[in-house]
Amino acid sequence: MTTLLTIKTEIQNLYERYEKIIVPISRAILTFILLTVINNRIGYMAKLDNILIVLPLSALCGVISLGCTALVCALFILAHVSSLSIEVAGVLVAVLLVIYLLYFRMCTRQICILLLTPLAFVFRIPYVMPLIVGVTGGMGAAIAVGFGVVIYYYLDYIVENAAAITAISDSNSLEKIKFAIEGLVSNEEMWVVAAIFLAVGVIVCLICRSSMDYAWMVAVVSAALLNAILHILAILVFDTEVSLVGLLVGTFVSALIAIAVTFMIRGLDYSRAEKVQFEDDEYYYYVKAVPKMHVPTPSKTVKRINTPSNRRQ
Amino acid sequence: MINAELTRLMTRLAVFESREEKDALAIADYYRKDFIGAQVLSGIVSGTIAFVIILVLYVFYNIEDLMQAVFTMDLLIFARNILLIYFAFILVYGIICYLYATYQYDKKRKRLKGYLGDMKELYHSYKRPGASKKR
Repeated sequence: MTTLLTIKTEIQNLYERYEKIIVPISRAILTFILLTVINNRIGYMAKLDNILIVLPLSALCGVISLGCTALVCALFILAHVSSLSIEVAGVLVAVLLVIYLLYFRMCTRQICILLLTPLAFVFRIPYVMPLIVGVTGGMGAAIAVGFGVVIYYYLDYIVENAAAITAISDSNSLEKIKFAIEGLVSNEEMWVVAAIFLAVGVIVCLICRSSMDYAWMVAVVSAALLNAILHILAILVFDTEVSLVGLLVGTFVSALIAIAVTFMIRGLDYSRAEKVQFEDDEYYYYVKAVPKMHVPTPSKTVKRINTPSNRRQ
Repeated sequence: MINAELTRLMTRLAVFESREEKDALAIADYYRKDFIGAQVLSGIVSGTIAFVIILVLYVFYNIEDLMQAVFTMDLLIFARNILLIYFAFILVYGIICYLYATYQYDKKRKRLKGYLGDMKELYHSYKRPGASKKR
């Protein structure tokens, strides 16, 4: 435990010292990964799958902001989909606009969650998102995860049905639009998974806010169990195409990652928790104070015995 | 000589200004009602645009049924139903925007209070005898 705490403190110190370099670099890396994944998975416009385009754009987004990353990713996706079909790209624009107008217009800071959720699906650990977001963000952040699920599943629908879309003749635009909307309306799995993620995120958030000991640990473990149970129920009721082994392994790995992240962020020492009670003119206060775990990193001092000045003397 | 207390205070103020410039400091220009009103109004405009987009998608999706029924259905009742759905949608979304704006305003105002307290302390520290000479 002490080793873990020392590592945590060292990472925190490193971040504090090099924050100005670490933040833009990590933003650029995230943009690079996102654009590469988009090019690999959607990739209908071959011109965009070029390192000379991806790399400078990633560097630019790294310097500017995450909002810029989201915009560049959206433009990349739209460019690829428009190469497949202009009509489908039009429906996609409508979907993205509705999501922006209804939610991200108000909560611009949650844009990171929207970017990371589809990425978590690609890396086969989607269940980590509601768990981490529930601990670190608020209930509103769980909604962002839901929108991330919608975007991932809708893009997946477009990619899976690309052959069917191209088979529809170009003169039959209406049919293409209907086919694209069908991916939203009749995609039961998408709505079920979005609802489950939303529920799991809210549950984690609610348990985390309670004053019980080890609340965050209880929240992550119980929400991971709830996630598995709800997904199994969804498989039975809605016949969703989710692999049971993948679900269980994914949930377990996600829970471990969520615990590790929570430990890095929170790390409370419940053994030294104190309960105090006091009053003023208007209220009684029942306060529970839990100290954060902290281990100072051993500072290495190098003592020079034969310094050049000493030698001269 | 450098005054450690003042330096600490000014650093705290500078950090707040750089981090919260767009958020907490922006609400200082508004009264509570004005801020919440503006947020709800922009929410209604955004909600209306989103509703129109969803309606257009609905029309495209059901265009064949609608084209067949257009001569038989009562268009007035159809329009009234759509308006009713629109008002219900805007009402719910407006309430959500109102609650969110209220929460945001109160949260940012609280942070701003701490900032203004620090500003006051800085101001008084300069007014103390001998402070101007040091400057």
